[in-house]
Amino acid sequence: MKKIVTSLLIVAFVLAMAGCGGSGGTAATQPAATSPQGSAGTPARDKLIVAIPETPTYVDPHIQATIGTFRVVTQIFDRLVELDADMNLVPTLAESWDIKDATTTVFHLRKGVKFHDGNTMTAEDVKYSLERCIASAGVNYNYLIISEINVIDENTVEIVTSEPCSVLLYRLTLDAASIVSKAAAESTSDFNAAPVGCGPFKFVSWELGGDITLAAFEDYWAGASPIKTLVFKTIPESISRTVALETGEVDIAYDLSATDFATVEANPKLKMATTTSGTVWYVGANVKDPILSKKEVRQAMAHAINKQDFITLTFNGNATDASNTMMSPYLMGYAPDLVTYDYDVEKGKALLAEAGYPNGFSCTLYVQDAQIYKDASVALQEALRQIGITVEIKSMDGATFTSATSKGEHQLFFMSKTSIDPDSMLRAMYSEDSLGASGNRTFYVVPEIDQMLDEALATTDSEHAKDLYKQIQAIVAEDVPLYPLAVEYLNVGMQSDVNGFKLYPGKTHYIYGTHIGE
Amino acid sequence: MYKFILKRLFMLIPVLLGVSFIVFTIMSLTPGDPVQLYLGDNYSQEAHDQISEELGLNDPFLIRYAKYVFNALQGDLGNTYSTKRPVTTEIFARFPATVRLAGAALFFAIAVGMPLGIVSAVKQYSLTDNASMLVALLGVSMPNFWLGIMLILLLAANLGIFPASGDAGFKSLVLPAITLSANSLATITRMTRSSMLEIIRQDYIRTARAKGLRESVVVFRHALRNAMIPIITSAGLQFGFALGGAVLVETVFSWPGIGRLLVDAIKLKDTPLVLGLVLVMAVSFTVINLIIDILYAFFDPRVKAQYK
Repeated sequence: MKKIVTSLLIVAFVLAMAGCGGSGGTAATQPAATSPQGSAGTPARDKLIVAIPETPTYVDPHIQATIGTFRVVTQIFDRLVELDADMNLVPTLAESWDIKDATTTVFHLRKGVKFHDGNTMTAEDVKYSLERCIASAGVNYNYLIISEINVIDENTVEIVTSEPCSVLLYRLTLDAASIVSKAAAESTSDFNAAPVGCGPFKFVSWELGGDITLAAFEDYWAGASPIKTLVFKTIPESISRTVALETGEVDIAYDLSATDFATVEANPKLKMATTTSGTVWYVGANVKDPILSKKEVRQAMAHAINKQDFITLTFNGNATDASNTMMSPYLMGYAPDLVTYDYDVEKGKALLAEAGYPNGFSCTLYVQDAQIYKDASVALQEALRQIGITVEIKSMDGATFTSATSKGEHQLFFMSKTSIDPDSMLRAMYSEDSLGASGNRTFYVVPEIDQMLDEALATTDSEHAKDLYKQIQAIVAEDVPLYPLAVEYLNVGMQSDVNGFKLYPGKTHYIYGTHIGE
Repeated sequence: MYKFILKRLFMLIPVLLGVSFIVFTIMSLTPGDPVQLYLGDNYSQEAHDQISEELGLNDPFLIRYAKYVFNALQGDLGNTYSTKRPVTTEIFARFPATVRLAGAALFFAIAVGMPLGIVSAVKQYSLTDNASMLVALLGVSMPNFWLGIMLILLLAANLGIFPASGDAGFKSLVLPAITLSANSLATITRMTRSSMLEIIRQDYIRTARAKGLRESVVVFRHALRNAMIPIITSAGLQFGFALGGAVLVETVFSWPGIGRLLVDAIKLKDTPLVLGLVLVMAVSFTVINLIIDILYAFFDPRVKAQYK
């Protein structure tokens, strides 16, 4: 009997320990990371651990456009041009560029830039990379307008668009336009397992379901990063990211929950950075619906919403008023509050009565079943109840939500959109080109807006483009097919000795420029 | 005995076919388009058609299922929609972590739960009994994600004894294993206690005592062995559930196991990955049940006789 019990316990023990030695060794927590000091006397830490909420799907930039993927990819690859933290265009792999005519831009490449595999970057690599991007359905959405990429000489490349495209440079800053090594990509069948770029960090390893490790690229054209080892660690729960910061397990943690801000700020070993993102949350109305097709009804709803209360309830204050435009303050042509709807219940009721609904009506509100949507839907339900509109909340998973709203099954819906250029934002929201799945889920179509969008894209006169974007914003602010409510803040928590880190409104923060200690 | 094991293993085939068909049907019937999830908010119709073709989503339902079964029989569970890597690669990169966590949790549950149950039964209504029943009650009632967060706050954030997240050796296994074991520990304690209490009142136990046997011999040799069957059953079932991926615990502790993978796969409607995971879980569950049945035979000769 004793033997049996003992053997049972041994079996359980062996099962418990099985593999403990396996992957355990690789991550044996680094003593350096647990003592965040780096002050005089101790040698500065050169390993940086970043906690991210979602694991990348790929480390090849040309397969799928997701934030999770790009947050890692952006460190490995450089692009022709980049946006700095204030959203200004800065030359990167292209030292300069000339706009030859409305459809042709010539890029002069930086000379002597090395890839991680030692090859020199040339115009051939640029042509290859952009063509690779355009050929990939998962990322080519913004680049189908490119019709030709011509190599002029080793360090000069010309990009021709099928129609004039004033926002081409902005699109080339996106991670999908990353420049990959042609030699490396052509010589392997699985570039995703061994990506080669010319960014500040090179790929070292990626354990499935585990950490991604990068190392400083010593021959980086702008100088090697003082961070020699960069680890991305997936921690899905926001509270766990905060705790990992507190225990010193990670140096930087992305996207903390607003409820943890106070904890982090109160901790002398930690600090926070926040900035306004390019993500705007809005409530949209399906204008094909007989009731919601009436402008007065939509305006009445806008009057019923107290935006400040809404932001407090839904975002815990971690957002700011969207000022009745879908453009974030960084974008060219940003024109806030061209028409405003004060919080005024009586006015809302009057407008409803004018539209023929003195006693209100009932309608559906489609949302996804995640916390932010739940909070928002309840706040909106209560706001609209004040003017007599009974809202039935329909909560569903993300897949169902995107599919239902792109088919127009909804009346109202709550959603967000992130963009770094005015054309992609306004076109996705208000153009006939993008009805349904491409972004226009209100099905609001005004031919004049489409004309102005095309004209703004075509002009090389940025003042004229700004003026056109302003006119579009004025029309939609008056018609309110959708009501922009909040611009979300982006935040990052870090150890107090992490310096030089900048938040990028596009959400994919570059680690290059960050160092530990003075 | 071997015949019995073989027979049970053969029964796996209809089980797997049934499970895969049900999951395949559910994944096809639920709304949501995997291509749309793959492409995000903005895409062109051409891109949609191209990806849809690549993923083989244009065939009718039954053809897709038949193709799946045909390939699966040859050991090919297909590639995932999201990462395009083989499903088996994705699963087996994470399965060891889940086995490790489930094993550690089971070990802890048995190592603590059984002794607690035995003591409670032997000293019924004593302080120990009441205390361990209280612990057991707490164990079953506490949601384990909450317990996990509390342990993280106390032992990781405040005292800094254990890491809060990830899979980095033995230390990082402790908190998730304790969290995951709370429920099974409670079940095993209660099961051991009630099973022992029933046995302890049997005539043969009185006989054993009357013979003048030492109390420890009475308890361990005569009572516990006979009380083992329900204990093994519940421990095995708990282990089976834990192997199916402790979704919440894996998420709270950022544990890179298959539970988290399954949740992500369902969110992305990644049918081949969901199917692969469910099949792996079904196989592990069946195999564990088989092991339990074999263990019965070791503890109870009467059962062994039936396996002939």
